[in-house]
Amino acid sequence: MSSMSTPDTATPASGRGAARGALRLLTGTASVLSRIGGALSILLIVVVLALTTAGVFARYVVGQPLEGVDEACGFMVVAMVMAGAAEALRTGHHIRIDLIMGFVGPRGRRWLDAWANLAVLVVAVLLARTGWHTAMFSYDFDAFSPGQLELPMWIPQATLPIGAALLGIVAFAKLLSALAGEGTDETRGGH
Amino acid sequence: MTFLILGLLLLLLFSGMPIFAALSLTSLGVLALFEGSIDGMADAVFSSLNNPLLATIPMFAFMAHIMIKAKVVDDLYEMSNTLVGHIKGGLSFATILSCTIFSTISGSSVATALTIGSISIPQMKRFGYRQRDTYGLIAAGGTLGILIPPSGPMILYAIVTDASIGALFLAGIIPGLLMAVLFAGYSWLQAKRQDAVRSQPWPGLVAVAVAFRKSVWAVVMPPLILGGIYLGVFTPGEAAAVGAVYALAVALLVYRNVSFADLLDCGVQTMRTSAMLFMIIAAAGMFGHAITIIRLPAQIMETVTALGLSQGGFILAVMLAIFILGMFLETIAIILITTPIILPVMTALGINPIWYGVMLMINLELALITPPVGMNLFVIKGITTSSLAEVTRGALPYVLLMMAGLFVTWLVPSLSLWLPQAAGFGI
Repeated sequence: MSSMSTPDTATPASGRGAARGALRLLTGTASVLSRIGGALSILLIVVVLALTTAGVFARYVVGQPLEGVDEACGFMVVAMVMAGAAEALRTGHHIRIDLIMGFVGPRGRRWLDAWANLAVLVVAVLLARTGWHTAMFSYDFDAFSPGQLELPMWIPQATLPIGAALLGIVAFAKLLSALAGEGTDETRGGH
Repeated sequence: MTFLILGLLLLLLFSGMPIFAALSLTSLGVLALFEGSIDGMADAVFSSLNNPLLATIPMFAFMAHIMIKAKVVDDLYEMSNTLVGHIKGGLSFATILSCTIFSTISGSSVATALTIGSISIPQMKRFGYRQRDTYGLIAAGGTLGILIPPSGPMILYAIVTDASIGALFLAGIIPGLLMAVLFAGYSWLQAKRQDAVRSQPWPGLVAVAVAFRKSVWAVVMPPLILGGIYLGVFTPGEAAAVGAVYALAVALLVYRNVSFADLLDCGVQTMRTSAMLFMIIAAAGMFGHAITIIRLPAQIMETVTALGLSQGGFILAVMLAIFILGMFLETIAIILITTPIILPVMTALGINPIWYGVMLMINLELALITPPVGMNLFVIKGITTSSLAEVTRGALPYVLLMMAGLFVTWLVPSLSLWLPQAAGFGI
């Protein structure tokens, strides 16, 4: 079992400068976007922590429970995951079973990496599409959350297509990099 | 058709794609095939993730990362060592005591093996312990992290089965302590038989008192978290938040060895782990829906009825299957894939989900130290640069001890159920 990684293979010979430049641009853009998503995810973890602590403080010190903390935390978990999923992919933290990796050479590993990233890309595209429909449905029908916050449901649901799109961009960049035989980022193991 | 779908899942899993992608694609295949549409995908993902209980996991993880960064565990080990290091083989007790207390801080087996192993392995080697024995002890001691509360896998199991997190946490304590005693006792016997093993001189009561005082910040944590939950002061989520704030206060105000960059690193680690874990949860939500569509739980129930399996026979079969899965799959994946499949059958057979949850955790502990995929074996290999074969040989006796512990937990359900029942949980 390990995390997702990209093989360290030699850079192909020059001659495809434009294609490589475009790939670098894509990889760089994906990296910046996923880092922003990761930062947002950390911020949401801190907000959930602060909100939950404030709830305890309000109940025992102020004597006035905070309303809607659980509901807000639930929505923030969705946003936290969708914002951080791409960064977890970029840094190789999504767990995969890599038993087969031990039986193939560098070239085989590259194809397996391409296959793994293609799978993530397909899932991301489908989630982005269905997530968009779900959020739009809630928007068109003025759906509100059933709890105390009464938040328009399209807001937390919109994090699904946005996060999935981000995940898709990173998966696409990693897929192309694997096919081109290039390492994409600071790949690492463990979680 | 069911075998075809499960076969597809295994094929995708072993083809090396991320677990969340394999679960999602299999589930989407079922949705497309049986419902003619995958429109329910986003709803299933949203419902799986929109759960405030899940927020407990990153908060506990953040707390653990801070405590590790602040090196609170060094004082914890020093306290244990000062207390029992003068006995021949006493380092075994010190190591297991540290693992047990650290488990209540980290909630993670890998973190426990990594953190305690880094400190105790050099110390045990210095006092003549055989290398292999040391590796086995740490690999096994680290697994206590998922049985002794708070435990990330227990929270996941509770969410999937809708069981009480508080009751599960309590249910894990006695079996967890039983395992700890078994591990320490066996390691102590191993050490007693080795002439090379030396004890340390008795440091005196003053040194013990000083070590206690230094480690008090770690020792106070379990009563704060667990006591808060069981006295009804906090919900599990609030206990995690209070624990994280406490860890922050200890690191910044008492130890004063954690910088802003360290805290940011704790945040980054927490975010990556949570995103990875929760993506599997989201996919498992879809998978749970997919197996209902193909009537997998109903088919298992029909098979159990046809075979005339009793409650005990069913548990034995499931535990055997999970043991085999545990050799290849990661603990989180096992919980999230197997639990929705067997939960309806468990309910029909009258199996207490809290009791089963504890047995599942012990079996998952086994998964951590059984090759070819045993996370704690990899951790020990990583911090010692020894061969995997050497680490595995050291861990083998503990595999047998865990099996014995699992058997006893199955034989005597009150080991798991007495404490939560005594605390007033209606289970």
